Amino acid sequence: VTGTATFGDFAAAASNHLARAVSLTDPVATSRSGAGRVTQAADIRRGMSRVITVISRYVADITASTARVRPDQHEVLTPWARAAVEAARALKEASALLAPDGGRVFGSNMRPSASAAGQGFDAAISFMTAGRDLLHTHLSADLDGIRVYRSEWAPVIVSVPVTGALMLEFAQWAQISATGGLKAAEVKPPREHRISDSIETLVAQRRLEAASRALLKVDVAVHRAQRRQPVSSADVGLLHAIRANVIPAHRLPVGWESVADLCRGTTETAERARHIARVVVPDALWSPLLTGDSLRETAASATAVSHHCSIVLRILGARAAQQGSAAVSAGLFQSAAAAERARDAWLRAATMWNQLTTETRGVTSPVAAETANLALWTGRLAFADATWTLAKGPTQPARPLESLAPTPSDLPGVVAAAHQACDALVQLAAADHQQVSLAAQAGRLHSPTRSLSDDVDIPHPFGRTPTGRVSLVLDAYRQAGQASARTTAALSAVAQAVRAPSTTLTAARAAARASRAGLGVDGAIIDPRPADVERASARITELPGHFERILSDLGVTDPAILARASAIDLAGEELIIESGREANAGSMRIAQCAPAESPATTALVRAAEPGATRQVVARPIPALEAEAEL
Amino acid sequence: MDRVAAASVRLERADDLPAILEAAFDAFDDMLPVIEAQQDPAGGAFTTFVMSAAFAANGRDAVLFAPSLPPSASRGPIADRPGCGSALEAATALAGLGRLLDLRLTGAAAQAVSPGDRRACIDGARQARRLVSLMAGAAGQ
Repeated sequence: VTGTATFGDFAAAASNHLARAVSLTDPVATSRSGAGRVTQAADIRRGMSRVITVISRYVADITASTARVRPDQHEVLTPWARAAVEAARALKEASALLAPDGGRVFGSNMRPSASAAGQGFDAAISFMTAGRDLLHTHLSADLDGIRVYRSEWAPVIVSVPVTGALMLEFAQWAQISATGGLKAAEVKPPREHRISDSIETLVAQRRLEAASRALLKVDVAVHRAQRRQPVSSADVGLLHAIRANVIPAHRLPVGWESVADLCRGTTETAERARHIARVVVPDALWSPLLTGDSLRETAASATAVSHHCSIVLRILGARAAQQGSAAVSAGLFQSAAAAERARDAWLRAATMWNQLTTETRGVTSPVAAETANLALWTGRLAFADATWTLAKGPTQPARPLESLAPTPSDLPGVVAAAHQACDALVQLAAADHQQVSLAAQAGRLHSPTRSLSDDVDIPHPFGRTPTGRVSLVLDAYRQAGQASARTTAALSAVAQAVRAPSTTLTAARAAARASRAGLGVDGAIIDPRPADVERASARITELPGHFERILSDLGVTDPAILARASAIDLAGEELIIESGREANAGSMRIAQCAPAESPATTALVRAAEPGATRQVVARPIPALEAEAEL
Repeated sequence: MDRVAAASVRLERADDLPAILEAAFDAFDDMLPVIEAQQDPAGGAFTTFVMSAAFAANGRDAVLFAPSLPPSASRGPIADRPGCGSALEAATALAGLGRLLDLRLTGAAAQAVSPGDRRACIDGARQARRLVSLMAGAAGQ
């Protein structure tokens, strides 16, 4: 969408260069001198060795955790995990056959190849390496070797579908390389060679042939997994769509952008907002950037974004109807209605901040700034005035239908922009919910004394925000997130129907959900969140329940009464979870129905979902997990 | 709009830093229900009023932690939701009060001795200017 290179670009280039190298490997070419044929064979052996090294690194990334599984326990692994183990074994065998002396026979691996075929291998290896480097920009490891997610794409990369797609990719590389190796192995030693040289060449050729056959086992293992747990072309497309973890440059509209430019700006700004929202959460306990100013401005801007998206979607709905796409039109109007509900929910969250503040003030966080920018970009899409701003006054006409999507082919781009913007709001709601939770735990939330109960005697203009009010704010963010998620879901369906570029977003979220469900090949060692957030989230679960909080706010301090309230909270949570079980609603989101997080909820959720990961239990917005990447 | 007018009078009459801070606090706080009453999605200035509420609350919070703000501030009753005047009337009144807030807080910042007070006045004035920029647009000024 933003014109940045993707993994697919690198993978395709690698495959093309490998295929070209193999096509140039001609064992019977009469035009090639004897010495040239030998040089070519040596280049191919060296190229194959390097291909094996790079693929081995890819495989090692996947088998990082399965290395701890004993060989006699491999039956418990998923088909793709087993394929990775088998591929690693085949690659080791091929490597040993090709370079029995550990690679010294090839001299410096950095030396450029002399033959055209060898140069093809060199180029392919560069692209293969670049592809792995690209994927690694999304992941890192902490001091304990625990993998840490560095972007919203990280859980997508480690998901089963994308892992499988990646293995299909390097199985293809292995297969092409092996084909080249087998062809090169047929090259006869030149007649002018001394006998000793000819014998050495023949031995090398036989080793090349054996290594090529070993390399083909990678392809066999991967295709066996593909039969057992198929990876779809959409999954491959998702892998190919992954870009380097680089935030798009900050920019603002200047006033003469086309609709396509505005869509691009909206998409990039949404991406920036998502990225920044993700990274600020762990700092909420202490960061001076966490201010009431920032949180309320973010909520206000999110209200504006939802409002603008609803306007854009209604215009598109009318335009689609004009263009004869009744189903698409209906989907757009449904999305617009959902965006209006999200707008109302965000407005409630923003209004909650009229009675709340933080001890830090006067700073606008990057998240608030990006959300304001998103409001500006979406506003420029929604309104006719090319220089529209919030300060432009109340009589701003909406953009004419024919201006927003002159032809049916213009519609997908605008749908994608709205989809990206609404998805960003889901992430923002999740991030701000977590930030408020952490700030409350750290005692950073305050309220004007005027807004507190008359029973509270505070000799200051402000006092600590009561837990009941914190609870209401958290509920407001939860509802804003849920409403935004519903808008995003509605838009996903439209995006799918019109083949908007943002369908990748939907696929990425689905893959990330699969990853979170514990299906990841190396999911066992993945912990996407820094330890301090994990601990802080665990503390959040120690908050009193709904009724206990209300009584506390009313000034009740009698332990017996509070204990009864706690028991009521617990009974309510048990009832909700029990109902969920009885309904056998596998998709029912237990915590979504719970009035609040509490230790009891945590324990019950753990009991109800034995397979649930600790992220699922500890995350304070369970209802948003389906979409949010935090 | 009576509350906005009363807040303006009180702010004009405030003659020392604590009084200015208290009047500014009340003025920002009194703006909020007036702004909320205009947050109608069907209205042309919906998002303008939504953002304005954020700036008014920011301004109130800037003043809230000023060391010289009297402890008795913020102890009166919360302002009632006002009757709905037109968006134009509200924007005009709010823009006027915002300008006055900017003027008085900027002046108070120059007189303030304590860095905390100075910062509170400067931040409050900045938020007032942000609010004025939106309300002036909504008022067609």
